[in-house]
Amino acid sequence: MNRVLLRLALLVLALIILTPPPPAHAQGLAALAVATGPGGGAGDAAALVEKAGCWDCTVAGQVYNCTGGHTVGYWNCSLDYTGCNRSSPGCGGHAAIPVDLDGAAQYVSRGAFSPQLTGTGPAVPGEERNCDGVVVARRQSPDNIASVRTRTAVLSL
Amino acid sequence: MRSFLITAGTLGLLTHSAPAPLEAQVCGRGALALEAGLVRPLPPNFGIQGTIVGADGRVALWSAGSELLQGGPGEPIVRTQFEERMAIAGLAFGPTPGSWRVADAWTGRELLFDPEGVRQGARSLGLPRGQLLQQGIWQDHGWLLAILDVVARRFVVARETAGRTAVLFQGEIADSVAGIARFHMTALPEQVLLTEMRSPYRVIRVALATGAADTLLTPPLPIPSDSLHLWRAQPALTLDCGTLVSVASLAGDQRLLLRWDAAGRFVKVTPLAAPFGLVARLPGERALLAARRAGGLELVTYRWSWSSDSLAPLPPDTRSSR
Repeated sequence: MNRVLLRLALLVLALIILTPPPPAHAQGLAALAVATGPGGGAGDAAALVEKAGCWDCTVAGQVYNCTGGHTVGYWNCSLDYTGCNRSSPGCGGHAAIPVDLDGAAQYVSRGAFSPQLTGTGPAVPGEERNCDGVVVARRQSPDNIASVRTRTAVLSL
Repeated sequence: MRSFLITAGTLGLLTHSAPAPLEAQVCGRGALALEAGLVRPLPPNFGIQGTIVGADGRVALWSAGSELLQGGPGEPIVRTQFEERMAIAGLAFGPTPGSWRVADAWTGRELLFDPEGVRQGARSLGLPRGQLLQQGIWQDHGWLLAILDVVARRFVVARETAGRTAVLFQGEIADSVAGIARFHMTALPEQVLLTEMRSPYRVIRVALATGAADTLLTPPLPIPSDSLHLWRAQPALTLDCGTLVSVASLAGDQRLLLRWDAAGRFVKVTPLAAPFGLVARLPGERALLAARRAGGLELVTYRWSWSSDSLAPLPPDTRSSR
């Protein structure tokens, strides 16, 4: 029994060693990103369906990067002077929901609510917020849609 | 580059009419009215990261995932996806029809793409190490670059020509890198407008010829102090007689629309309870583009007019301000 366990442990260790690290990109920025890590846990991403064109934090050696080909969403991490940052650090499954950290990337800043994006159920049905209270996705009711159209039909400034 | 032809009925990004010539320039002292016109639904999950509008009315929008929507008057709209791994800080219609220039924030380079999305060339934008590209706007024969200088801990605007940069504006030095005040850029023929993303939401006008800067003062806004950190300004737009900025709460549908007159005096703040943001001005028209979320994300054309009983001749020194 012990031998079997030992073999299994060796096999797992060999797989870990032989698995190649993800390629590094954007070395100019990556050099500034040394020794900073993603805020969310890797388990958050693993629970979601992978989709090409989406982004997440990866590590190659000591260099962290924000690379494509990962979790659902189109802006799951950002790379800046602090390193690679998950969109909503510490929010568990919510970390995979795209959110714009600076408010600079989206003019409206509200994604359409999609239940499969969430790791846990929303506090308010049809609405997702990150740990800062920012609405990152929601479903609008027909009344709300009509209200938005009415309120924005003519603006007096 | 993967391309998808979008039918006009689905994503009618076609310009619906020829641009109306500007009438005799007059400035309104009273209310400004924005009236919604053409509504253009955008694809699901398309987040507008930036927009460019060509002099001929061609519009291109890109997302953080390097997806493009673009089309011009009388043309079908094409939705495309760059395969290149890059972070688009700036986009420009290329030197030949259908080609593109991209200012890549990841590498600090300009990338040239042919209409198929195949990279044809690259060159350095001349950014020293420690300067992070935030935004690029192609103007004349080079880029206007908004840069985060993490070494000097300040925001910088530079003009790039043939790989050489000349500093136009430097923000104040921050106590920490995270404390650097960041700005959106809006390029005008003779100025660049800088809109501070966070409170106090200053709008700084920088003369392209001299680098001289002045600030449009923003009064304290009706935002609770405990939620001020969740409000962001979007890039300023210039009208024929003034400047508009939309400030958005990231925690809800509250918006504040700010207006300054042609002389740079603050006029009015208008609250709006709707997911809405100003996007770009359409050149040669009294019209602008705004984004709103009404079910899906929409791009809406607004035409503006001034109160007819409060028109006054536009001061000569502001006639080139649009």
